Order: sequence, then C-alpha cells, then structure tokens
Amino acid sequence: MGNALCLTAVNDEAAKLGLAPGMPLADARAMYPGLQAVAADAAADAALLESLAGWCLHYTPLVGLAPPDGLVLDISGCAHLFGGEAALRQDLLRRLKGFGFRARAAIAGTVGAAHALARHGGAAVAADGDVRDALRPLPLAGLRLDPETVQGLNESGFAAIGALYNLPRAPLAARFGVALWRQLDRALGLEGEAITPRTPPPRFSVERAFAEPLVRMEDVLTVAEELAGRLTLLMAQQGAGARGLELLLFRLDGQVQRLTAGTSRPLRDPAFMRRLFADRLTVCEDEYDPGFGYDLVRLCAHAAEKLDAAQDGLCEGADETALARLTDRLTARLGEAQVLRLTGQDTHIPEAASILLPARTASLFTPTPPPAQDTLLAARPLRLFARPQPLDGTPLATAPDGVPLRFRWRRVLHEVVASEGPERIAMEWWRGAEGRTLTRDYFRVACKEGGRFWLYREGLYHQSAPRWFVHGLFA
Amino acid sequence: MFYIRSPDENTRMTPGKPPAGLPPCRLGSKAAAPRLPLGVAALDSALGGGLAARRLHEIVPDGVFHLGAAAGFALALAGRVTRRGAIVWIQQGLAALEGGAPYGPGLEPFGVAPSRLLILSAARAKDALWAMEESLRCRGVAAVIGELAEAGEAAGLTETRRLNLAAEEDGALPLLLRQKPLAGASACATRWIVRGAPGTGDGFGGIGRIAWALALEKNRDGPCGAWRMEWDHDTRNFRAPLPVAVAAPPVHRPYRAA
Repeated sequence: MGNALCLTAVNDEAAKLGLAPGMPLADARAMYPGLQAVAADAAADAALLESLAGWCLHYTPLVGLAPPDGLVLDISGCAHLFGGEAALRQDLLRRLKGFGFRARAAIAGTVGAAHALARHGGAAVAADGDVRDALRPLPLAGLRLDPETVQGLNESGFAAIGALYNLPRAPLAARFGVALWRQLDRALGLEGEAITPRTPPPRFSVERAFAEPLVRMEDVLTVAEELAGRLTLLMAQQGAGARGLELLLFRLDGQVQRLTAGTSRPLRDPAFMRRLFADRLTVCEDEYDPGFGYDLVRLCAHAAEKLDAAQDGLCEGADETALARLTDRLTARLGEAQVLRLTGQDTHIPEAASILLPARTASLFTPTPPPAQDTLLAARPLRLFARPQPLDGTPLATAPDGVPLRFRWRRVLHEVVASEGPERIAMEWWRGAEGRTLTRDYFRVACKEGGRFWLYREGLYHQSAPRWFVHGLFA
Repeated sequence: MFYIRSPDENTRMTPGKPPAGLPPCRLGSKAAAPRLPLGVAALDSALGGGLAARRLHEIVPDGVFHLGAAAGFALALAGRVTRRGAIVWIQQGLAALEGGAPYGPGLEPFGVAPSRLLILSAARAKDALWAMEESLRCRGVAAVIGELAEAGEAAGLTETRRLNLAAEEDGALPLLLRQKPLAGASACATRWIVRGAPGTGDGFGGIGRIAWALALEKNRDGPCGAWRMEWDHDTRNFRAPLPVAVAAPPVHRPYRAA
C-alpha cells in the first residue's frame, strides 16, 4: 500500500483483537496505542527457512523452498522409514513444535494439492484418488493464484475450488488467463510439476541414526568411517569413486552442520575419508559444537566419477596416488587457496606469466618459451613479489633512463657491480585500448654485497615521473 | 634353519650369522644412511660422502637480501635428488610477503619443471611444520623445502627432531629455510649460511653464473668450512669457480625431459 508501513505477521493475541497481516501499522496503532511492533527482517526469515530446509534433509534428500514461509518435501520412497506417511507427518510436526515453530503439514500426490491442504485445512493425508474430493471445499486462494484472480472469481460467485471442476474452460481462461486452469490441473495431478530441490540430491548417500546422541567428535569420526565403508561398497557396485564428500551432522536442536572434503582423484577408501574429515576438523573444531549431540549422521558423495578396481601397491601409479592423497589432506587442513601448483600463461607480463592455482584442480604447467637472452644468469628471477616493492627514491644512474648504479631498498644502500638490461616489457597492443598502459624497463643487477635483483622502471621520463620497483630476487 | 642355493655352491646358513663376503647390515646406522653427493670433492669429503639424504638440513640466508640465493641453493639441492616425485615448497604466510613466492619461469636453471612443484602457504608455523612432516612421509615426494618467516622459532629442537624422524624411513629430503638464523638448538644435520656471490662472468660484461658463498656452520659428519660454489646450469651441477672467464657454448636444455 504505497509507502505505508504494514503488518506482515501478527501473533495470537493480536489476531484476537482483529488485527491481520496487510493492515497499515498506523491504523493498528490508532486502534491499539499499546501495540508492540518490530520491523520485519525478510533476510533473517529467509535464512531461518533455509536452515529449516537443511534440517528437513533428515526426512528426504529432496527439499524445495516455497517462500516466504513454506517448504516442499518429496517423500516418495522415504515415508516407510518413519512408519508411513501419517507417522512421518506426526513426527515432523512434533519435532518442529519442539523447536518452537507452529507448523501445518499435509501430504498429497501433487505439490499444489499439498499446498492447498496444508494452508487451508482439510485432510492431513490425501491419497491420490481422494485429492479431487479433498480439494473441493477449500477456498480458491489454495490454488496459488494471484490475489486479483481470486478476488475476481469470488466476485463472480465462485468461492471453493470444487466450483471450478465442471465449468467450461474457455470463457474463464479468456477473462482470468490460462494460469487459472494450469494451477488447477497441477493441483489435481493432470499436469506435472517438479520440485526444485535446494541442493541437488547426492548420488550416493548413507546414514545412521542414533537413539543416544553422539556428543564427542571422535565418535563422529568413527561413525564417519563406518559410513564411509558402506558408501564405498555402494560406489564399488557401480564402479564409481567420490570426488566430493559431505558429512551432514543433524544436531538435536535442529541445526545441521556440514563437514566437506574434496579429493583430486576418485576415492574409495574409508580410512582415508576419515583422515580427510579429521584433518578438516583439526583446523575448525570450534565451528562444530555438538551441543546436546547429533542424532543423525549422513555421508554423501556429491560428485562421483568412474573408478575401476585397480591393484594397489605394486603398480606404476602408486607414487602419483600417494601425492594426490597428500594434496587432498593438505587441502583439507590448510584450505583450497593454500595448496597450489604453478600454471603458465601465454603472456609477457611477468606476474601473469606464471600463476598459482589450487592443486586439486590445476592443470600442469604449459611453459611459454623463455625469452632468448644473452645471459648466464636466469632470464627470470627465482622469487617474484606478488606486489612489486618500491625502491626508496630514484636510483643513481649515468643517464635518466640508464642502468642504475646505486639504489636504496628497504633502507639499505645497494651498489650495483654488474647489470644486464634494459628489457622492455609492455602491455600487449590489443589491450592498450582498455586504457591500461604499462611500460616497464627491467634490469638484472648484481650488487656489491652479493644480492641479485630484478629491478624495473615504470613509465617513461618524457611522459611522467617514472617509479622504480624491485620485482624479484635471483638465485 | 633355512638354505640358500647359490649358482656355484650350496651354502648352509644358520640364522643370526651372516655369510662371509656380505657386508654387515647396519640398519639405522650412519654408514647405511643414503647420501646425496654434491659432485664437488671438497664439499663431499667434508660431508662424509654427501648430504645425508634423510636428515634435516637448514639453510639460512646471510641477511634478507640473500634470500633469493638461499632459495636457489635449496632448490639446487632438491633438484639433485634422484628419486622421482614432487618438490613440496611450504611457505609460512608472511615469508612470501617478505621474500616473494617461487616463480615458474625462474626455476629453469635448476632443472626443476614447474609442474613438479607443489606450493603451500600456511598461516601458522605449526601448520607449516605439520605439512612438512606429512609431505616427508609421502612416497610421491622427492624433497620438501620448508620456509619459515623470521628465524622460525617454532621449529626448535623437538620439532626438528620430529622432521628427522619423519624423513628417516624412506622419506624425502628435508630442507628448512629460515629467513634469519635461530638462536636456539636444532636437530639438523647441517646448517648452511648462504650469500650470493659474483659468478664467473661471460666475458661480455654480464652478471655471470649463479654463484654462492657457502658457509657450513654446523656439520654432524665432519668439519665445518666455507666455500665458493657456482651452479652450472648446463649440467645442473655444483662446481668450484673457474679462475678465468669462459663463455659456455649454447646448449639446448629442455627442462621438460627432467
């Protein structure tokens, strides 16, 4: 309603007084001056819904969001684990009540029917044959139509969903659009509707529930290894190996904690999976607080690749496998951005010619041909500064753009005894149009006390005041 | 009781007594430890036949401006390891800020293909030492270079002993690069103080070869000493500097073949 502040939600007491969502705040305040109102926080609500959706993974891997306040669970094939559909619903409602939520739930063969039944009363569990009858008395708002359509239909004398069943379709479609019939067909199961899961369901997943919750992380790791054993059996049957692992820890209070680990090669080794999780835990143990304990632990393999059985130990690739495993463990503990491999790029700009990429995913170094130069020293330094280090002041040189004879870096005076250069490195011509210019004259210099540096001057004397930097150290 | 049939004779052997002619097996003793010869007689004799391949060696630059030289010496040693496998270079977070990170095209003179290098940066010294230990135990690793910021106080006597233990059983070559000398004790086998030195020139006014002034400050297997050493990037060998300048003929040296 324009810029007016409106009520977005009311509690029981307020509802009894006649306040309802959508009412302007000023009106409500006028009716009840003592009204307590807090600003709505849509982001926090969404986050809460997300975390609740995470907890619902407890019941099924396929959980979709129905914002702002709904969740859709696909429980096909999961209900029997909880003693049937009705029992699953009871269990879900009981636990949600325990967390302090007031929830309504309904089970039906289609998303539309379940939505209508859950939000507008009616049968808690509707079998596929009963959906038509179950929806008949419910208000039209249950069909997920936009408010104008519902209002128009109400004004035309249609109040319940059942009133639409035997109507000719063309006249109403002409007035209210085909969305009306599509939503009805979806609710009745005449047209299919897919649930968009929040996270893609994992390809392989095993879990174990505990009557007595786990409270120690060592126990969690032991359980993880046991689950990994079952997971590898599953994967071995299909000739697959895990590339991404996720351990879901369902805490008693409804929080779900995730422990992830990636591997550089398809993996089917329970003991090693445990080590990966253990390494991950050593660095971020504080983030995993068991609280009152975990009552369900689930291990999923999100990314899986083909892995055929191979003889271990005596074969050729044993060393490579050992190195890949080392990389995985280091990555698990230190982080993806800390375990790196050198990768070459085809450019003359020194800092871009060799870059560091995560070792798990990096391709091997494709060397650019090193510039042919008359030097016994390497043409490029062994160590390069990510950010060139500025010299203190301008070096002393015979000519303004000549070889530096004496320079000061890190407050120490260095006297040049031998030098090679200049080597001009400029921005590629096709990049100049972007407004980025770079003209550097590089010098290899050896100093009196033995240090060997890679210096450069940026800019040209006749254009601007050049600046000097140390870019690298030679061996 | 068991028997071994050799081609020329049947020898009856009793357990506990080695047959004549075989050298006595002294597992774990100094003589049995593998050595990594440096190829320069003066150095190898001081080291007792070469660098002990499974003991920790410390390399310390003589001041921050010689960090490049020290890193080059460490890489030269790592590149001489004959075992196939990766070279793991672990930098403690601040070390790269102070002295730069390993640069792919600059590895060429040491015969180390950039794809062999696994570069780690660990924020804490504790993590860097853990990563060193784990890497040393890995079969797919040839050498481990651990670079600690400042003096690396975190690697004291206990930690360096742990590194020795990790390398002892068929491990990789452990090298510890401290940016400054450590005041306390360390369990390393050798400690080298490295300075860059002017190398043999090319006769045309260039800088010349990579050269180091090495000071062996601690040596468990022999006397200490100081040497000038050059790196011959054609043959990838250490060598004593030549008295006169000699220009080497150009040689095609693809590092990919390494």
